[in-house]
Amino acid sequence: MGMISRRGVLAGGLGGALSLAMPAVLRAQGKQRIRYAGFVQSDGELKTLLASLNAYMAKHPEVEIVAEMTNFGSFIDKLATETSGGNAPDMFSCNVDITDEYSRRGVLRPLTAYVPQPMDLTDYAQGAVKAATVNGQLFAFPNDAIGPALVCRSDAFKKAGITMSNQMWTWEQLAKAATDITKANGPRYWGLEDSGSNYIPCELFMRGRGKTLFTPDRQIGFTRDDMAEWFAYWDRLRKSGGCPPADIQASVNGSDITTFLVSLGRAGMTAALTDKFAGMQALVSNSDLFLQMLPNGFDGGPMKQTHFVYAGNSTGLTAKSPHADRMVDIVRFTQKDPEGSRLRYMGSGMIPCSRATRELVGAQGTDVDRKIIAYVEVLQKEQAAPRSPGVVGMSNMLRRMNEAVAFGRLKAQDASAQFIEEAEKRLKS
Amino acid sequence: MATSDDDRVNLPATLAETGRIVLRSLAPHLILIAGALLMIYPLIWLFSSSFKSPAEIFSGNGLLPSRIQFDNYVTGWQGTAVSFGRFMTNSLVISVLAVIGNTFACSVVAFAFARLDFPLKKLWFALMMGTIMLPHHATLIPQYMLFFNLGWLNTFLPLVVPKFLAVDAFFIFLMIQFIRGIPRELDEAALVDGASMALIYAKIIFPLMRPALVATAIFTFIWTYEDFLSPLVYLTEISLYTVPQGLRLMMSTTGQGSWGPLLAMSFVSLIPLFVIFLFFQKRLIDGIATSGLKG
Amino acid sequence: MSVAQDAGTKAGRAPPRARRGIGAALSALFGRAGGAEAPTAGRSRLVGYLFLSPWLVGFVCLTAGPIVASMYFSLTDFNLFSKPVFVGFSNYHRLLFEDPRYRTALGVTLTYVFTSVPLKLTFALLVAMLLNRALAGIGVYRAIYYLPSLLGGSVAVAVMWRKIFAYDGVVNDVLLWFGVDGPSWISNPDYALSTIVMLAVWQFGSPAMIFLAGLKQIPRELYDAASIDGAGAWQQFWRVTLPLLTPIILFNLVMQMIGAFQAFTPSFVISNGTGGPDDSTLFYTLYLYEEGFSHFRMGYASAMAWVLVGIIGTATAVTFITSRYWVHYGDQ
Repeated sequence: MGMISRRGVLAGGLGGALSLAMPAVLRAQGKQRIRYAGFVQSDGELKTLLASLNAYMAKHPEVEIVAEMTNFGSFIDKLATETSGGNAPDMFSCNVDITDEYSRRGVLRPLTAYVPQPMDLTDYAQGAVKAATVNGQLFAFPNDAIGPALVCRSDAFKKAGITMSNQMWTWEQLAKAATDITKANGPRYWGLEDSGSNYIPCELFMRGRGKTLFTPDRQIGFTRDDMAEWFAYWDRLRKSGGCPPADIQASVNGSDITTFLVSLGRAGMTAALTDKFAGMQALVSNSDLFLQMLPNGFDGGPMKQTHFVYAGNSTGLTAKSPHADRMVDIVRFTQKDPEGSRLRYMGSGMIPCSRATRELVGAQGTDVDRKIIAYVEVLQKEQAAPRSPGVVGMSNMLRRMNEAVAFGRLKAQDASAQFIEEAEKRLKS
Repeated sequence: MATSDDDRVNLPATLAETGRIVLRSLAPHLILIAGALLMIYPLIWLFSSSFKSPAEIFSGNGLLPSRIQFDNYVTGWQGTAVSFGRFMTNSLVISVLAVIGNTFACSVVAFAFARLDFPLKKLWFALMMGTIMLPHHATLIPQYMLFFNLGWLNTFLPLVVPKFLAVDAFFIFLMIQFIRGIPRELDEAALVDGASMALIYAKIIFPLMRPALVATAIFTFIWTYEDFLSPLVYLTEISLYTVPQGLRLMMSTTGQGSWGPLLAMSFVSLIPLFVIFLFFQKRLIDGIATSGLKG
Repeated sequence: MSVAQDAGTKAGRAPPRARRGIGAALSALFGRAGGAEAPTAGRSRLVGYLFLSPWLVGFVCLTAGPIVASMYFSLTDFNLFSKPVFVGFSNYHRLLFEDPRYRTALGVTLTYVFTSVPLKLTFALLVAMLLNRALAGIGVYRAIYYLPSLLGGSVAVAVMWRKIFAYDGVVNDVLLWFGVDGPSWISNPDYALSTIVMLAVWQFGSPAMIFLAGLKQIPRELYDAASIDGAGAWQQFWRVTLPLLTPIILFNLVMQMIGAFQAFTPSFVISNGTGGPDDSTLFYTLYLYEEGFSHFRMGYASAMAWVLVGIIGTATAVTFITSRYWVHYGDQ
């Protein structure tokens, strides 16, 4: 091949690449173009979200909504890069941590001015609204309602002869149930997955002791003994056989239900958020799953509902975007409009934050949907305050400390001290 | 397939010798097959799992699916937002352009480093190697700002143009090492015959470094096809997504996952890679007439 | 092939008075017929830079800016959203003297580099030699041996590696036949890193293909000559194959080393990027990524990146310096 023809190929390649670049640029003209980035938790959720956005565009031909969806892990990196690069999407999905982080950095637009008109949030799960509020300002519209729970296998409970009649129970009763289930179902089967790494049950544990992980004004809300007792609780369970050994528990990735021992038929209970329930039931073909509250206190102490309801997925608007009113209307359409919300939620696997929409899904949804809705209603009867966001990277810190105790590298007291030390460092910076 | 000289044997004299020869020709096959089983296990696993339901994929280690039906392939290919074929087309287009860019641009630059002399050569070489040493994550944000200001976001340009500018120092270094293995007498003889430097590159070095070019083509194709981070940040619209992004879209760690379709499409997305590898590895063998290298 | 043969015959006819030296050769780019005109320094520079230009343009326009920016970030407090605030070398100070997790990450990475690279290269060379023969169906074998590398760090690999090395995985199923109740290999701090090393060795395809390409470049005549001298297969390997392969060995060594120092994806295969269990797979770049993108400390992450450049640069420089004693180039 000679030099000239090679240049030709080179030029052709570049030309091809350039022509590929054209459509995106040309298309942007003439319409109100809104970039909606976010994470979806399932194929069904993507399908329903796109359907509702398409319906909106059909009604408003002057609007083009570009859906930039991916899964959660990828979304976090992409959002950080885009925002830092000065190219944040116009609207995007938030969880509690994103709302907190991006509102404090001035990326998100305060939304209080849009409530109650056009967004009336009175029938929303109030915990979700509170959790999306930072320094008195609402920063995201909650899409769904989730809460902490124990996801339990009926077959394991039946084998151990345990029937749950009351949602309220103590941490000691949980430990006993876990050990009993292990005894009845073993070997290579455990009553309860080790949740020492999970900050949500930890928050409830602290609340049971009259404390909290973090206070609303960003201070540590527990003592060294409280956290040491948390690590020790799980250490005792590992030793009594109620929880699996450290290395088996470490094979579970807390955000991936396909690794949960309950999903794999190796454990009877695990602490999880309700948005994982439907997915887990789909993985478990040989037993019904049910939702049970985590303990709300200790033997001999006062029992008080400590669970909170919040949103796993909210929608926030970028402060710099000029399309705020339009985007609020899009959110209103997907969350509250009878047609839009039906398209958005039916088959999405999400439990709507708005009661009216929730009842619609409950009436037409599956048995699994109804189980989750019923549980969320139980939590709502006696609402506890939402969790106060702590420090960035807290879940990772707690997991490291719990693993250090589980693998015998640290004593519970020392792990607690180290957790506090690291958290304090982060609170200062 | 060419038979090499040392496989050609004289007619066997005795039966024992025949046996030995048969064994000798079978032994490599036996070793290779044993190894191949170890290598192919994942593909067998992936293929059989692509027919299973999520519950069956994650429970138990059995290879055989309990049912043979193609739902996962149909659902996966249809996709939710756009067909999976779209993701594959995007990946193929980007990868082919990247291969063209890398093989030409990198070979030209490698020729400069390996055969030509110019001021600051050592400095440029050190800087070039330095660009490989910096972790990608550290430059991601400034790189993003650069492409944003160029107006290249949401196009294939950030993924393709750098290849035409020999940004992949890996391949430049690879080719330098290959060119340095080619005896210099060849270029010098050509020089004496009146060839220009451009001609030496085009007529001698380029054809002789074919194994390196093929290796570059194969790796560029595969690595571009599988790259996740760059397409993730530079391509935002779903219709422009590449295969790994498309697969992530199906992956669900919380909700009701489309694990069956995900594994089915993982399998399908391997087919072009496998075919390209099978096709190009032949070039790797036939690529060079070693007799031409007699000093 | 005609081109190569053509060049070869030309080489065969090359008159002994062939001029040596690159300077003379360069003049020939524009001057024809043996370079009757005297070469000028300006011209040779021009030719060199002409061939270098694609890279130089790419470096100046695309690569250099972000590199300089990250160098600057490393001297700042940069949370991704606000303007970076200059803090001098305090990121480096904290990194080198005050961060125990950084030391963990460095230790994990060094262990990984020193185990996975030699194992992978040895394995790759063995397989390349096994595949470098004229057997029926060798192309299919090559493709099959490359399969693990095609899978890369995909989602499927993560699920599969778990299927093999988890407590209820294939390995332990086999061990159970022998009455051994194995640990959970992927999630035990004592073994987790070893399974990642195994994954790296198993994906030996790229260096093996490069070795194969290198083996193809060794002239058959050299083996013929060695065999006439009475050298056996083993001696041929030591006297012909290995010396002539040294440039490629150097390449594979340097590149695998750089790659191993930057290992990132494998930790997603077994720990979903947490670096667990108990930080036993906390790779350098994983920690860097966690600090930069999860904890929004891009200044600190950038400092980490530049220390890594220093470490890799030193390791590479040392390798290059020693290579003078063990690498043989055909152009010397």
